[in-house]
Amino acid sequence: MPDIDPALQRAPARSGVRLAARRFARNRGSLVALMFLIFVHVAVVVGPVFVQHAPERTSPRNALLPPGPVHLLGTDELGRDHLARLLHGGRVTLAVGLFSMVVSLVVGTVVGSVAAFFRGTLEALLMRFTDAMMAIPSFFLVLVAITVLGNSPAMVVLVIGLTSWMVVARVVYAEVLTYRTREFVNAAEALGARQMRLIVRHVLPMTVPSLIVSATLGVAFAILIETAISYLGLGIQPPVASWGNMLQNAQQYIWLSPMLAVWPGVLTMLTVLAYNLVGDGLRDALDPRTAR
Amino acid sequence: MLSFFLRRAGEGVIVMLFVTIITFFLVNLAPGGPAVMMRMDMTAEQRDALARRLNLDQPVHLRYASWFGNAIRGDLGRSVNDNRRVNEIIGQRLPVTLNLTFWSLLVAVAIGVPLGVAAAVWRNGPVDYAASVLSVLGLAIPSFWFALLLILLFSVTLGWLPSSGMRSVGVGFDVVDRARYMVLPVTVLATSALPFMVRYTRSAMLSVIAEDYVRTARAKGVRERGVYFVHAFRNALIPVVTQVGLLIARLIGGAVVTETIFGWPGMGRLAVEASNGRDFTVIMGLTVVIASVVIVTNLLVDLAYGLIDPRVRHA
Repeated sequence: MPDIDPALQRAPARSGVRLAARRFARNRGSLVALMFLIFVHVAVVVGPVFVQHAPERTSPRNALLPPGPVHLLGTDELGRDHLARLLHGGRVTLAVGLFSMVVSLVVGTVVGSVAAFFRGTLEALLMRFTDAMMAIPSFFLVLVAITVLGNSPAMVVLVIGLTSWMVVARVVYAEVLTYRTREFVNAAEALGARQMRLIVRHVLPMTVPSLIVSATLGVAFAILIETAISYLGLGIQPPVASWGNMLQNAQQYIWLSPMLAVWPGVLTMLTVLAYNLVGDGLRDALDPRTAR
Repeated sequence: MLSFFLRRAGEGVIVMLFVTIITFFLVNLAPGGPAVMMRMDMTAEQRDALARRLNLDQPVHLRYASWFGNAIRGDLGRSVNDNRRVNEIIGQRLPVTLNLTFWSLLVAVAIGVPLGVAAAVWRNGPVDYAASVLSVLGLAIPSFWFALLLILLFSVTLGWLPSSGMRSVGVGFDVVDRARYMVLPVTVLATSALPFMVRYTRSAMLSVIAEDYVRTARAKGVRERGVYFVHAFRNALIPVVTQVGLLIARLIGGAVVTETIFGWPGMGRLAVEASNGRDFTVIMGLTVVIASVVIVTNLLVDLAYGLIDPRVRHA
């Protein structure tokens, strides 16, 4: 066996990922956005350890305090520490965003790939179902579903995920349709691979770049939906904090403590912005053809 | 063209059927049934009578069938909670929402399309940069928070515009008065649609500009303005018009938040009220009306293709 430089040996398998990473890094906006996302996620996971105050502990005597050494960002109308609530609320909002994305990705991938692979009646049925779901404004559907099924965090995740998979389904459907007639799929089929294996091992991996992009954009979408329904008082219920429900009462106290209304909104906006920018950067990095 | 349109209309009917089935079974999953069933002041007999009146003793697919039979004849039934006719309730609310979404869409198109074209024509220039910053921000800002900021600035601090409602109390129909109340809600809702218009117009223009016939037009000496507006823009319009159709569903969804914050008595706020009150019939009525608006808009979009693109007419 001749000596082959191990780096060379690995090179072909990794070069795609490495090239994409290099292209991504060249996009300064996306890179900053990615660093911001890492910072926010680490902060909401680790941050609460360093904050002494419990996010749900009320203290009417200390209501609406300005920022100070004890309460770094002040307190809200019930005397709860604003920083603690921001961090815990961020946990809830970001977790809802991520898990909803997972649900929508799974449902969308299954619907899209099944429709594209098993043509005919099943395909027509599934794709018309997708159209129907798109014809109902998703926010309206989320609203109805949550009031009917309940608004525990797990239910909120499920409802947002089950009402936002349609774009993923369309993307997967289109991609599977183009890949299933390619030679490498024919070859696998000729070798006797079963349908299930054809889909999972040969066709679906080709859709991963699009799925990654859909996933980042999906998190952004889910965060916007969660904060909006929680703001309306129908989503995550107090005393559990979320960036959306923290803004529910902020309107009333906007003169006394304007920062109560500012922080959750700014964090939501920046996080959604960052997810969108990372998604755009990934799209350009993973598929150079679409680079603008 | 006609067969194309008929096929799309047929698909619309199937989509409508799916939409009503999804929502009907969803609202019927509710534990405990409609909210009125949980009132404490009823005797067991009254409760049974109410359940019979609402056909709650029948299996869900039969209830759907009877609801559907009435709906197809234009009767959406009566509100479970206050017994008013659903047609009448929605009839009062629909114009408010249509008004809001129409103006918001108009603003989004009037600003978004020229901005998208300009961004494509002066690609990578300052206009393109400004347009992309604007659309990235517009996509990320939570609309309810944007509304709060606008109210804080224009109503509370500057006192220029009213913060909620549709008209001043005691004032008859007055265009200026109505317009003052519309500025903030329309701004909020239009902002949610604007980024899509800018992005789609820009990318449609860019892909058209790269086409051979645009190069041919340039080669035969057509002036730049002519190239962009006669040769490129018309072809770029097709994907843009599609986008308008898709935006309708998004705008009506956005109207839920916008109407709630600004206190507009439209369908969006009705959706919040009906969901909270578990008013099945009103929710079903809203579903039918909202889905119809979305489906009809998309049919009109298909028709518009024929006007813009002769190839579709002859297909």
